[in-house]
Amino acid sequence: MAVTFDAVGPSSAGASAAGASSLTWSHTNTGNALLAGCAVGTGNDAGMSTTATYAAAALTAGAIVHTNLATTGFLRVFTTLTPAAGANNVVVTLAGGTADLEGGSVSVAGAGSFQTQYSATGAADPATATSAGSASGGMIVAFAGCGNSFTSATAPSTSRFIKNLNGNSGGGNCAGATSPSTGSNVTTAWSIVPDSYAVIGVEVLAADLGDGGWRFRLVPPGHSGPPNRGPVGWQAWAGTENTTSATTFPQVLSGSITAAGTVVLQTGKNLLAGASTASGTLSRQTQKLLAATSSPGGVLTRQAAKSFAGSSTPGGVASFTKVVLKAFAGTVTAAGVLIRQAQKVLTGSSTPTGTVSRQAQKVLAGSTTPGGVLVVVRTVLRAFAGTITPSGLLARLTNKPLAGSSTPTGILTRQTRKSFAGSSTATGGLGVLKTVLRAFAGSVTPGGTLARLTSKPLAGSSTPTGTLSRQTAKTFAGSSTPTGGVALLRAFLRAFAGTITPGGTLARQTGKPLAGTTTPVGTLARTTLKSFAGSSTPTGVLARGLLAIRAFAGSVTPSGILARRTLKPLAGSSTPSGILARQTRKSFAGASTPAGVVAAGRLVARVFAGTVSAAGTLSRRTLKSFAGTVAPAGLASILANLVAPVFARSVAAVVAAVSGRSDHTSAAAGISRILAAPTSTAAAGPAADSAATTEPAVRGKGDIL
Amino acid sequence: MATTTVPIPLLTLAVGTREFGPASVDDTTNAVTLTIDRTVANGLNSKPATTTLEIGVWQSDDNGASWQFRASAGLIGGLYPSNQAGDPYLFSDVQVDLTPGVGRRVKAVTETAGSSVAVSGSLVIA
Repeated sequence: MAVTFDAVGPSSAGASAAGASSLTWSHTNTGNALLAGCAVGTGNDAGMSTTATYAAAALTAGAIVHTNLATTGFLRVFTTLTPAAGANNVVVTLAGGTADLEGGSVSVAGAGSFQTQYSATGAADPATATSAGSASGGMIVAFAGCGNSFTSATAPSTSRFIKNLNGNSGGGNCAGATSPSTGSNVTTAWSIVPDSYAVIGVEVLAADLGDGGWRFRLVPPGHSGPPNRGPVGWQAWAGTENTTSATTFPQVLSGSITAAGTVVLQTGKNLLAGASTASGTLSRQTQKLLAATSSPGGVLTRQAAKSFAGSSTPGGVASFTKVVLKAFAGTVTAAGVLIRQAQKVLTGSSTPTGTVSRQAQKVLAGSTTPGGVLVVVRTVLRAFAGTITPSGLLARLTNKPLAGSSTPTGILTRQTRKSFAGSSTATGGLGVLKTVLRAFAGSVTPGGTLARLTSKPLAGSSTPTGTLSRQTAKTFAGSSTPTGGVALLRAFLRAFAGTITPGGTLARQTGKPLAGTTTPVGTLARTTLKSFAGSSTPTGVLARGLLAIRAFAGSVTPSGILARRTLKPLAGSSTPSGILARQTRKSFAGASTPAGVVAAGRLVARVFAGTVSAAGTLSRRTLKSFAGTVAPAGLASILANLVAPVFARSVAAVVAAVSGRSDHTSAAAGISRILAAPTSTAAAGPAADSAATTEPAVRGKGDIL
Repeated sequence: MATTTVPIPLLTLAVGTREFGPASVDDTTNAVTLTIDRTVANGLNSKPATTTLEIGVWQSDDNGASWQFRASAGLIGGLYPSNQAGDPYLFSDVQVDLTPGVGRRVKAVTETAGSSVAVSGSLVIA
């Protein structure tokens, strides 16, 4: 059934109102669709807008189109697919002031739906606009507004009304015309006295009568009444809103007709609901768009652009998509269904299926080449996986937050904060990151894969590669300057390596545990304790630390670099610096209380300095060494080898002087043998305690030495 | 082609509805223009925007036994630019064609709201 012209309102002369804020005219309708056009002419149309009703029912407003894109007038077209029958009034109301209003209306029969409005502007004769294709059986209804007079409509268009009011502005004249849809582009044109003009066209698609002459109609769920007058594209009589025409839907899928208006919405609903599977042209076109081998054009592009630009309010899938994109951009906060669905997918409580899942899997699997946004997603994932090296914008964007040169904002920041603050439960990658950080912080103990993955690089059983390795190497090699957390880590490692002297926070943080003012806890404490307890084998820095401590403790003999490093300060060929020097000085100066090895070293030094008296184990150990009941090792051995012979020679010299003998060398040898002879522990104890607590005796040794 | 003119004398319209005419219309004329002078003392240009005046054209094809609405314009008080030069509207009007017929009559109907307003104008069928 083709679309046919029904009536024009109020007449072929249209209607106008000069210096008015509304214009009303009569239109007698016997069709099933009505379109009204109204031009507005004024000196400045800023802030002006129009709305319209028919029989007191609001009409759907199209976009405002300014004549020649100026501000002295505009045109707007209003439509309805449910016009009341009979003589009723079209009321156009102007908001924002008073202006010249001219308009007219056209009703048609056999209409099924409206295609999206298209428009054109200019200032030369003729005033014209061309549709982007058309569907045979339909009708193009076009309206024009102009700053000067319309003469006539150009064939094959049929003039329906012309209202020439004045030439005071850019919209003092209005016209309407109809043209049959030809199956291809349709141009509507008017001869005009050249001036600013705007033309808006609407294609009215024919109604689908369906199989067997049934009239299908979209009615609200639960509707049980008889079909109303006029065919519309979709049926609802079976009781389900998504039931579609047995004829039209296959035609849409096969591409034999172009989906528009309600058809598009219903098709989208069916596909999203999984009630049908896209195939044929629809599937191919969708895949092409996703693969970026074709670009959406014409009406689709314009509608999408308008929706995202905010000049029109998107509906259906477009609305959902816009919300999703705004949520990602952080301009809106996802809520309700959107957030629930997103969370379900992220938490794994639901699995994306159907086309989305298949397309995503194909792209990630490499069996198809992604396009558009999917390319970006895939690139990001591969960059994280290390299979590619990010470069250009991706690298810069990734590096900036890490380097601290930019601060993440919007939903990313909020979600991250919430997750780490514990007000929401982090999942997916964020959850992994949180676990890693908490493991480092010691609040959780890594286990399973996390522990293995962490342990492997530390244990040296695996070597980091790819971007991480290269970036790290560059940073530590000095070919790039790290910032933020990387800079801190580098400084920490270099402080341990001795190439820099830690200061500020780093020094304080490092010094505190060494000084005993803080106690490492959690993973660090456990791991360290295990290593020192021998229940695990430390590697890397920890292994070197353990080795150094054991060397000081005498349980191993340092060699190689460790020995050289240790001997150089003792031998005076190098001077300890940095935190080691400061901590040692503080400890020995009494500004801090040393602990562990340092405390032991300090105690020994004070014993030798005479400021404390050796007692207990220290005393016994020293005496045993000097008494020869144990073989001294380390520093004690050095002291025994140096002190005993000199002490013996001194005593022998005294004995010789007293006895008048001069062979004090033999006497000294005898004393040395006595000192070196084994003695009982019981006999050595009191003597040792007496010697250790008698300061002049100790000083006497020093004097002799 | 005979032109029919129904004068609207200078008068003050109280809040409410008032009719002018009706007048018989020549069978060969169709174009109706109902014009209001906005510049008269206490006219629309001197009134606030809360003063509104709806001016409408009605047609009868049966010597006034029944009337059909043709068109109307909603007017509001105040000064508004009529062109890019900013010149204020001096007149407001509504224009519409009558449906063809014989023995037709036409009338103007005004509906004032907000406050009274002075008007002067004409109803011309040409």
